[in-house]
Amino acid sequence: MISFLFRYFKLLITLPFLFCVANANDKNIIKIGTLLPYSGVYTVLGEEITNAMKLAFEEQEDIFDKKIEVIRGDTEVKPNIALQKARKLISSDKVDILVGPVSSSVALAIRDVVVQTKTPLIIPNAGANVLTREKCSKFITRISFSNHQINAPMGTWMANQGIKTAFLLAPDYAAGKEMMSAFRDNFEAGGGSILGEEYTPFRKTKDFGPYLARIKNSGAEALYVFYAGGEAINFIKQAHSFGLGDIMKITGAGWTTSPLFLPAQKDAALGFIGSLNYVPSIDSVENNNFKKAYIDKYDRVPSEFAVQGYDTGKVIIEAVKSLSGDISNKEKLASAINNISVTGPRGPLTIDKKSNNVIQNIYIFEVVSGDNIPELKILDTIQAVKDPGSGCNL
Amino acid sequence: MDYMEDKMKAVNYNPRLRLHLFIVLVVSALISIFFGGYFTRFFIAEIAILSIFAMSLDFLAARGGLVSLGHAMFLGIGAYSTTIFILNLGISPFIATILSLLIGCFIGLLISYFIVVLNGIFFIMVTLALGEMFHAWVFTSELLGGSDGISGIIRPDISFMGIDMNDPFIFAIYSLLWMSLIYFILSRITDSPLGRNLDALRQNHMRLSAIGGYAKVYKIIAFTISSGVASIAGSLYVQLNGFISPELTHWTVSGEGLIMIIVGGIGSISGAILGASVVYILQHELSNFISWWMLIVGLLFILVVLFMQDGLWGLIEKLRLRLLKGKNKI
Amino acid sequence: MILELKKLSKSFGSIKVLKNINLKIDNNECVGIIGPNGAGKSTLFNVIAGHLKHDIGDVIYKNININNKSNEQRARFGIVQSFQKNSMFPEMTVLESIMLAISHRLNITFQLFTNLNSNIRILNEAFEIIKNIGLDKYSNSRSDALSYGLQRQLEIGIAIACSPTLLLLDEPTAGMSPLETKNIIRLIKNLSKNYTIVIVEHDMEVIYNLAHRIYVLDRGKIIFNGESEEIKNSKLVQDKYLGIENV
Repeated sequence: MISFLFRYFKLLITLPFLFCVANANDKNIIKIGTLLPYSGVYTVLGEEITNAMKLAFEEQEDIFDKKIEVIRGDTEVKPNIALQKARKLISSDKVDILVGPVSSSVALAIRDVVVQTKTPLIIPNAGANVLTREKCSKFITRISFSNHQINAPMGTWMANQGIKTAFLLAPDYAAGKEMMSAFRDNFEAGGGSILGEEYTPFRKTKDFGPYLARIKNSGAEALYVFYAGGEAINFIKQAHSFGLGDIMKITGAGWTTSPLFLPAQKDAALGFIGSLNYVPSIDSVENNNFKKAYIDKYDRVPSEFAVQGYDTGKVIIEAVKSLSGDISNKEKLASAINNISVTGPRGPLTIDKKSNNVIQNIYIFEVVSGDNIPELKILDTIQAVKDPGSGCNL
Repeated sequence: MDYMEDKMKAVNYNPRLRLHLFIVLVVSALISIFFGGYFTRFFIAEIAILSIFAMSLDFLAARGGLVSLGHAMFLGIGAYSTTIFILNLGISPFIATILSLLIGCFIGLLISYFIVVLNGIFFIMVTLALGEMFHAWVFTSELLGGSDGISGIIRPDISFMGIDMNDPFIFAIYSLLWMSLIYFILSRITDSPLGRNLDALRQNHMRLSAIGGYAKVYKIIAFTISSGVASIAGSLYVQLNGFISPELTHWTVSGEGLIMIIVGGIGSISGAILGASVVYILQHELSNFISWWMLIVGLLFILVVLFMQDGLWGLIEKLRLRLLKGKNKI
Repeated sequence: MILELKKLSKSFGSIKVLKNINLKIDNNECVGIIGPNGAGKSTLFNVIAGHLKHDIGDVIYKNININNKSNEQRARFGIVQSFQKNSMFPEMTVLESIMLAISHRLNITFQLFTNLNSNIRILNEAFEIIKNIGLDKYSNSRSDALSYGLQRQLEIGIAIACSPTLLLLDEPTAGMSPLETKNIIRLIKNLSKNYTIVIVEHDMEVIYNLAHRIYVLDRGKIIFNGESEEIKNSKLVQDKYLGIENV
């Protein structure tokens, strides 16, 4: 037995030591761990958020002699992998703050670990309502949006515009359903009625023909839709060639015509009315400076995802400043983050004390033709929108 | 009566090396658990659970001669039934694991009754389709938490024995115990008359029928055992993470499992554990500093397939042979 | 009487391959079936083994009608075959293959938690059989590493390890060197003392050496049956078969 163990001695000693490399903890470095997708379908989002956050850090030379270090954790958009990376960032890299993730299922997966280890987490995108409702925590701050927050104001706004009937269309997954129900609640409260709804297989729908026919036959005045990525591009193009825009208003959650997709959608997107927490055409000093800096550095127009990343960076800096650089107490750090109010590219941001979800302006926009690619023209700004945050006891 | 069929190849039948490799792996896991930190312990527990899944695929591939791309479904069945037992019915987690094993076996039995007669690509496609149907159903099911999944799943409470399961150290040991149990059961079955007949069935089903083998029944048994084992892996996985989401049932999970057993060497059981460890560690280490790690893993995988027929097991076997020869010369 | 075929016919589409075959095989008899290419030998063999289902007629085994029994079920009754094409378990050693076959005779193939390869009783029995088929030097070689001739010996070994009451051999010497052929003939001769054997063969010499009784098949019909000396002297058979063979 012993000689046999000896034979495999090398294998025996190398395996464990792969893990045992502990990182020395340098007091003068603020460690930010990201839990974002750097591979898989949401790679672009992960990169945009990280790039913009780094931009915010670079604008701030140093804070109380401390340097900011960003440690990337690739979630691969898989909750189990994200969980593993979260544990690594927390226990091996000993990060001070976690930033992430992009998708809600990942956020829900890492939620318990974050809360148990009392690591402040700033969510720069994931929209599931529960994250700042039933599953809220003083260590979790959402700087992006809740699905309800973006879609509910649109329901009220459309009802106020005199639109009486609408049809709902979204991918068949949790976020799609949350968005539609937020819109529906406010639209119906404003006197509108929903004539029909369809949920298409998530990320599997290529041909929207049958749905378009059903939407047309419903006779609704408006379509309220949400899609992202390839589906958003396909849907907008197919709806355009179907001529749906001539029959009814095409409206929806603003991501459907995100600046990320407009170069592919081109004029097919014209006339789309949507709501979002950021549009590039906001005319403010903060936004103009940000856009210029981002284009200078990364040679492309920032999307709303980049803005969320940038604001995350700003919030971190302000929080560290408010603690005079002493971030050793994580509870204090978390509460500092939640007490921050900044004005970012998308306007003034504060954190709702009740739920730790951001309070922000929501912009209603219309897609109009621009120089090369269409632009988003702001029709209306709804000030300081809150998520109800029901079920959260902070 | 000629027949044309792609046969699954397995590594040499070598129970001794299998046991040795297993001991080495468990000892290194134990060393890692004892000397590693919070993350390492979680990581080892995760590898142990993935190894159980890999072993179930390995058993199915080597004994049943069946390649399943839908085996993540059983991972999901184990995971979701455990979740429901614990959260909705208030059953204790340990019993939930046993129950989900039974459910996994039962569903495996039911499905295999209809599909084990299929060969090669047809079997792969049918399992893929079944797995995708299950994934699609879970993804939209309100009861199972839809695309967002369910969290808040607890671990077995054995505090009356003075042991806290929520300590990653304890849970890692618990996972290793399960892994070892599964290893010994599957080894035992592999060495049994049934196991040898399953092996023969994979190599030449016509010949086995001609000496009176119950070909279909053997295959059904193999599939049932394999799906039960995969369910256990799923059940432990939700207890480890406290969370379940539909991603676990995606066919790519089965694909990754297959990569693990191919890297480890198909049919060696402990090779499956080795493959799972190596692939998972590699994935983790690489993805920490490069975002195109998938390319590297893919390339390595292709190299293994092209140049190492029996995967790492084959390499170890060769090295061992050389070492033994060297000894004899002296 | 072990096996009886009664008025057996089989056709593939419009081609009648077997026409009204009547055949009887007694205990401890070694029966040869010969015929030119395309005479229906292989079809007849497959019908007896249960790979093919015949159209009309009866297959009677030990006074039981086994028309509807599959190959697997017939094997469990004791009708065990060897294949024309070498068809063993390539990754198994000779010893493992034989032990596997014994496990079928002992009906222990559903045991999950006993160790087959360390069962002393089966091990001894396997060595006995390996000795009988002349493979004692090769007991730990993998089947696919054996030469063609040795593989055929193993093939027969697997069949007899199941202790068949009726052993079907499909061209046991096909593709063999003269020396290998000699070995296999000696092996079958030894076996024929204890087993009832049906050999389908192309090679007349082999059949003359082994078979007690011979059926001659031509275009799906049995045109002659008798002892080997009778066949040698039969004008009909010489014309139909041997004549062609000698051309």
